[in-house]
Amino acid sequence: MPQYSAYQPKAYRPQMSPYWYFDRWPYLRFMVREASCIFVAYFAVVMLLQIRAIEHGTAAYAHFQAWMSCPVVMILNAIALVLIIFHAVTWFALVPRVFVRHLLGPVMPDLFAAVPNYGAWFVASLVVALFALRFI
Amino acid sequence: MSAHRSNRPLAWLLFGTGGFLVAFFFPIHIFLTGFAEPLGLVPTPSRASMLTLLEHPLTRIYLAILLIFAFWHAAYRLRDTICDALDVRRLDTVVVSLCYAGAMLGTIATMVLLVCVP
Repeated sequence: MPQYSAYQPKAYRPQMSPYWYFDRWPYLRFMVREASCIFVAYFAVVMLLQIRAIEHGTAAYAHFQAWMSCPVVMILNAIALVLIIFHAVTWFALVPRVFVRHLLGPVMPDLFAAVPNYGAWFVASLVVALFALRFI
Repeated sequence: MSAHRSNRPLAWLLFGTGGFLVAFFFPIHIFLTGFAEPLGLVPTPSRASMLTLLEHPLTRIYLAILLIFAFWHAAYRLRDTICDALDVRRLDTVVVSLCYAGAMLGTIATMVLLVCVP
């Protein structure tokens, strides 16, 4: 004779590790890009300190530049540059994915659709560089 | 009963605009200020010429827009990064308050520095 037990419902509780982003490369890549925000805030503060140094006189400006030459700061700047370029590249791929495909349908690969963004990035960088280096 | 409406679209607007500006303009600023000038790859402009540039209203408008949106972009993303990476979504109210307070502080500092150009 079969043994029957009373039906005991159990709520479904999904288990997710707090370190879920180490499970797969795309998850880790997502989290690394999210972490770029720390360096966006860091470099925005650096730019504020640069403005403050320019306003405060020659000595303060020289002090700011000596600080920028310090190896620890240069390593921080290197990490900031890599992560923010990573943010930029994914952002440039995202914009045509949202707008162009919405209008035209999936007609072209991401990289090709993002070409106008890279062109605009180059022009924007050139204009900023000409001003920031005082060629204009 | 009306459904709960999220206030996220407004914050996302700041995040999205900031993400756009950071992507286009931050790399060149980091490259010039953080590498090219300290390493002597390009001539470093004098303080006097930088002050002339900074005194121009358009420079200040550009810097204000870039930096303020960058702070709000960073705050929006930092909130989700802290909640997801450290698994503390239950502390979201505290985290979001701290992040947006930081962005507000950055906004005030930017405005003060750019209004007070000598």
